[in-house]
Amino acid sequence: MTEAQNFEPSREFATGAFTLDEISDYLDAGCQPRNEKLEADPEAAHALAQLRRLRGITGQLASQEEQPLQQDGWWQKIVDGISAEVAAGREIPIPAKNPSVELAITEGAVKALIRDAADTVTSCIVTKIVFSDSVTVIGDPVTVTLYVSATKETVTSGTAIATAAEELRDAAWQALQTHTVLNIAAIDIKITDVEGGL
Amino acid sequence: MQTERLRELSDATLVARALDGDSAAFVCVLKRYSGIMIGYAVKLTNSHADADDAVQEAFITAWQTLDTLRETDKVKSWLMRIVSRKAIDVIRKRRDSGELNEETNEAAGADPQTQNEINSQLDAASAVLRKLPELQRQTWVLKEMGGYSYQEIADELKLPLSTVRGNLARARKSLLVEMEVWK
Repeated sequence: MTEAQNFEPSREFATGAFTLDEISDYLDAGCQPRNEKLEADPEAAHALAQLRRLRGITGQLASQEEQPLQQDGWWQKIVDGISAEVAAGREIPIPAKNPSVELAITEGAVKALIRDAADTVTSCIVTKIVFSDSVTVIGDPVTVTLYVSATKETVTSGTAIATAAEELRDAAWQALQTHTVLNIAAIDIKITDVEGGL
Repeated sequence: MQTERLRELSDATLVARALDGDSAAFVCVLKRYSGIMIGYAVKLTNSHADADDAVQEAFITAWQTLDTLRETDKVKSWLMRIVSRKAIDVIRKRRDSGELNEETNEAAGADPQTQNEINSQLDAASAVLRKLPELQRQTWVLKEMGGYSYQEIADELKLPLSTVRGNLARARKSLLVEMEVWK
């Protein structure tokens, strides 16, 4: 470590009447206020120009991408770690024939069902799903609210947003009817924005 | 959802979905920025294996603390900050245990002939960076790529401010000296 800390560049770098630190600080300050003496000093001005160039190269270096050494296993570990920690949300009870048995499905699982169905509708994207609190009581009417971003294509192509919303509601309804016994009173759709902005 | 469709979505939309429990949307964000995160961590740690570990840990931390992300369209800089922390942890652990970084030594021993073959400026800059002593490289990468201030670097690496300044000054000089040759 001592040796490394004493490492010095093999050659000198001329910086005129200024230290390299001073010139670097000047560049960090956006060369403001303008230092005429520094700018007029050929060696200092050259150092400033080179520092600017170095900054440009460093900027490009910073955006250089690298791949993981072992791609497949590496990603799998991440995907596993993340899916193991998905918030399950509330428990939604399911009526059981045998009263001593308690059955439930997680809110997270029902959201995933709705998302899968809604994603077949290309005119908009569901970003958030909210169930009314009654979802935890068997048989109570439940309102599902879908927060949605309209896709840019939908807006620019003039497709009525109402039509897109209807398509989405149908897809969600179908999924809920097929896979759950929830008493769905309403599926509200709130278009919040346009995906990626206009 | 089909991964292809997810890939076309903006960061903000993917983060919104991830916040609502869609892990596939989150993985899509991670894939978008994994390359640049690994690239940065490689430069900071000078070890691809360490960089892979740091990024992997950063991803898990990001998922666990996603609800603290205030501006959903700033997810990239948020992820870069997390990977910085994880890479710094690696560096500190390595330093505390007195462990030498083998990859650093290999790079430092690159012969002049190999150097001559490196023709592009970026490769040359990368090579100089790899050859720098650890502290010089780390302080340089944190300041110039990570956007850390002198004081933040001192705090993160648990070093006196004067040491940070000194190492940065030497790194800057080394890089400038090498650049004169590329002209």
